[in-house]
Amino acid sequence: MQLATAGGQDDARARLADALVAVGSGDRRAFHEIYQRTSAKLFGICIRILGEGQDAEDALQEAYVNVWRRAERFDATRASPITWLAAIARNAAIDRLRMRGTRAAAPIDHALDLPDDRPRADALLEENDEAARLHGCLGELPDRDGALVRTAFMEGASYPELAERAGEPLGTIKSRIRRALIRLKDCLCR
Amino acid sequence: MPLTEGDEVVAGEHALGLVNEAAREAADAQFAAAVEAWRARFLPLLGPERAPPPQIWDRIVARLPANDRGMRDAARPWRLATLAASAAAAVLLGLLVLRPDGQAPAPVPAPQVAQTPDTRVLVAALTPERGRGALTVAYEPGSGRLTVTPAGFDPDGRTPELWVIPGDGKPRSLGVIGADAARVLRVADDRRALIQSGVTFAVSLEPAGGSPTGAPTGPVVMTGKLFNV
Repeated sequence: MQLATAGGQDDARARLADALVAVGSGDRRAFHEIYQRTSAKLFGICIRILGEGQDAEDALQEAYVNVWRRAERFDATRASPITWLAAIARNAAIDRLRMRGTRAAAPIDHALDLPDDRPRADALLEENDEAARLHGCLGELPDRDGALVRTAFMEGASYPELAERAGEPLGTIKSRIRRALIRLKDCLCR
Repeated sequence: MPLTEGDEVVAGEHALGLVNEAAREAADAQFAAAVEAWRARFLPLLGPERAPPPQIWDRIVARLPANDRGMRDAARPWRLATLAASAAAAVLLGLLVLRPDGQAPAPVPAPQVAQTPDTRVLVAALTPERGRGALTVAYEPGSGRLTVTPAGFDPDGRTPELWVIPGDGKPRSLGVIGADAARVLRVADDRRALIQSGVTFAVSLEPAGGSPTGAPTGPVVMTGKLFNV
């Protein structure tokens, strides 16, 4: 099953990469294909970051307009289509989140249990494993460093904002994040 | 030389959005690969999937720039890729017959209603002196668009780069290409005059990111001449 999954994923990745190249030349049919294959993933990202509501829909639109504009720069030798698309969606969602301006002083949420994201029954086994491993590794980080990492990634908090919200000096926060990254890489590579 | 631990951490900070290393990501393929790996690691935090409301697509389309070519030209890159792929298949089967005047009776799709004045397509089939693999190049002088389709090509862990070699014998880079999938490149305006029927294309194997010198630094593995179709 592992082999079949890997082959199927490679095909899907190559198809998306080809479609992105075509979009770079103004191909709207390829753009529609990309939307059909990836909009559920990207909308899920917008909802996760912004919550339910109009903002998530607006961020999704913004994301795909950016995909259209930047597809010419997509380089399949440097990035996979999904992480490239997901980064665009995350950036659009974070931009909109920061426009709200309400979280600037909120304390770091130390609860590491995420909202219920029970995977869909038909999701690839691999995806569930990866999510479980990441949550496990984040949980293993000392001193709630996992919450810092999550806040940076999910809320777009900057270093100064993290320091303010955690009530700690900037230098300490930087050290904690850097230490966390080293440990995470190690944990995920096991 | 692998990235230092410090650079790995900076790549992680960039993926988290805590630092801005976009310039380095664009210039340094190794760093870009590290950033990509971090993005993939954090991706599970961004799940699960959710189907968006149907009307969002229409809103997106309404916001696309008005001066792009839209649906009527949407088929061109795909047909070009099909033509290139057909030509590649024909080469592999030894069926491509080139008449002395350069006319190649390759399978050509039905002529499209021309939207641009120059609808010519020029095709090159690149093959190695020894070994497997082939590459077809289909060039549209009207748009400057170059479609490169590899077939059974193994770059041996290196980065393939496409060159055009005009009459003066000096190779000019057309960019890094893929070995697995078709790629569409747009030829820069100052290069387009060089790409004429009879010119030679070549593929060399370069380090990651392509030749650092502007001339081929690795072995030239395939060559072929460009012809009118």
